[in-house]
Amino acid sequence: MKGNKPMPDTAIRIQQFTKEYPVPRQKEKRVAVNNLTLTVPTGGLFGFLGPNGAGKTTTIKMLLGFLPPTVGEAWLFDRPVGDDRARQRVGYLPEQPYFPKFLSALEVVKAHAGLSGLSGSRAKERVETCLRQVGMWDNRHMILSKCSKGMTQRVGLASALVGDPDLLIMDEPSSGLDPLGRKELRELLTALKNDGKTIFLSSHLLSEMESVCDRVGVMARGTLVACGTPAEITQAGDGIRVQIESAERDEVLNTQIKDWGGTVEVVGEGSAFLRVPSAFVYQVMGLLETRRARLVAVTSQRETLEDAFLRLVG
Amino acid sequence: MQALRNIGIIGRITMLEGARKQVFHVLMLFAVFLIFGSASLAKFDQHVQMKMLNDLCLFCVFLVSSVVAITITVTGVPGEMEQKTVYPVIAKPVARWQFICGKYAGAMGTVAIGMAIMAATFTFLQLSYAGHLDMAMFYVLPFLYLETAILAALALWLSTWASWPLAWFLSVLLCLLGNLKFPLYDSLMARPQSGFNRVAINTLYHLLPNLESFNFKDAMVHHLTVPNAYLWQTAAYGIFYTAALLTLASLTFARKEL
Amino acid sequence: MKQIIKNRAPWILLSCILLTLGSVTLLVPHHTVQAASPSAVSHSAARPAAAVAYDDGDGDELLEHWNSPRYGAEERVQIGGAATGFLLLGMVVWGKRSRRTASYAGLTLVDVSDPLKSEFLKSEQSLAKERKAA
Repeated sequence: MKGNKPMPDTAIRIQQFTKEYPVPRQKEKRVAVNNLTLTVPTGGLFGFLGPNGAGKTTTIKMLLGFLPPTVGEAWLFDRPVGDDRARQRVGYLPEQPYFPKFLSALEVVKAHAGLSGLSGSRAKERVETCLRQVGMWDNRHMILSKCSKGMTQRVGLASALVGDPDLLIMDEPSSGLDPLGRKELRELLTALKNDGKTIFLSSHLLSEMESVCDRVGVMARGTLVACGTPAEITQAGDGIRVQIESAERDEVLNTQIKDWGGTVEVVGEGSAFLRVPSAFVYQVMGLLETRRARLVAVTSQRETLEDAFLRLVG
Repeated sequence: MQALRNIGIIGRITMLEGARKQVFHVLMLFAVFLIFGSASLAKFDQHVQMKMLNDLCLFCVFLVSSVVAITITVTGVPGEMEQKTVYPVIAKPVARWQFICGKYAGAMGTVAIGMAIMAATFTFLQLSYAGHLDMAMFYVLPFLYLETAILAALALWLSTWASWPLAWFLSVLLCLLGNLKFPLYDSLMARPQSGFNRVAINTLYHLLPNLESFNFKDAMVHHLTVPNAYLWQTAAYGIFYTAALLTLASLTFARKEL
Repeated sequence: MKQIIKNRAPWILLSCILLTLGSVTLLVPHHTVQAASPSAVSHSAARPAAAVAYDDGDGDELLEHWNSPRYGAEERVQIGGAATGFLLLGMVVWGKRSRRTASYAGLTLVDVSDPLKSEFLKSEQSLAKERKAA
């Protein structure tokens, strides 16, 4: 299936992608994606984030040749997306994978192995590996009309993986999965990433993205508003948050914290959060010991991806 | 080579899905019932009885096969797009024309299964009534299949740009017009027509498929001989017309936004 | 050799069209096969006629089309039309494909010479290398 050509450095290259849709009875067109330029290097996991209607799915559809862009071009492993062979090294998992209802999971994955160019014992082996990988091997003869949403999602994932693609494009892969399924998916994504695959993953489940993504791109209203590593996107806060328990309201402690440029937030009877610049961390510890306050937790105050997302999109 | 494999795989999926649908089973039961029913209608002396039996049975085979062919193809592509089953397939290195040809091959496979069931029933009736098999069946039925192949290709092309109810309606209409092409043309041209109308009628006349060409029912019913050259030419005509319609369907589908 | 064929593609296809049309004309009968159909002699192949060639006396003689020259002629016209259509389409596809190949070649040259684009590519490549090293 794969040639012996060396792997290009860029898995996805998009230049000035724009997609406009005509609006019925209106002269103006609706812009779904506006002048998007993006590069996804080979290897690693790229999170494509954005609220609903941001243009993520439209971008993926244009990348896979389902929709022609109004303006712009894109390449998958240096092949223009208009060329059918560009999808030779690509696996795709749609947001809600649908397959013919009257087929079994095994029949569907087998068919996709064939469409990916596999045949004979290699196809058989890949079908079994992928069905086992997604936990559907025991239910392989189940007809899809009787499968749950989560099971169909697993079949979709197996179909995307069966061709052993170098680039995996996934649109909201964890939708329909239960917490256990999501954990398994995260583990699978990490394993694929470690195998050197490139994963392009669209999602709005930011807490999940933060732990697995190497780079993220944030879309809002059809425009790419930020792109980089999660650390580059989230603003590093120069402070710590200290959770304490104190028997009574301690004015001395409060005054000292304020003198250091911090804040005190009382959250319940005898419980409070102190926020102070990280330069005073040891002084705070000494103060707590002197004032006989019980230390519950100390955490670094850093913006989460969700906070950054809300800041960028909001 | 891979293109042929892709067509085969998509065709197999379509055929499996089509043959597992309840509506197909109901149609088959209906067809078998009709064929047996036609035997009970033909209550005359043996000669006339066989003529009637052949006539009714072949009509029934054509009717049910056409309904199956049109229904499966007309709902195939719009159904795939509506249910989003098209995405995982097109995301593979599969060209749009391969998808169209695969869907068509699958639909024709389902029609072939249906026709085989009806032909078996028909053979059984012939053997029990006449005691022997009419060999003309071996070219009459394949030509009926070729006729449904044209109808299916027509329905497939219509379904790539029209909604499926409209495509179904147009397919049935074109099936009727294709079967009545010559008498209809004659009756229209017999009346005085303006220059524009004459051009329009002539253009439509040359574009419409001549479905009556594939009907050799009478040759079997009345034991007439059909010249071999005509059979070959009609077969070539059927193949060319089908290929042209499939090309049109592929071109339309290639431009479609999914 | 391949290049020569590519350059001469439109002419090769044109001659194919002429050959196909020629063969189709040969298929059209120059003498009418109306030995059994005296009524059909008066009808030309292009202008459809109302009467039929053969009547077995069963009353539905209109259905016995295989002896009518009108049916055969119409089939040949449509076969010829379809064949011409295929060849024209082949020419268009061939032309488009050659133009696209030429435009890709041009694009590569522009990419190399354009300093902005080459910088863009360089940054991508260094990013990929960093990742590989990590």
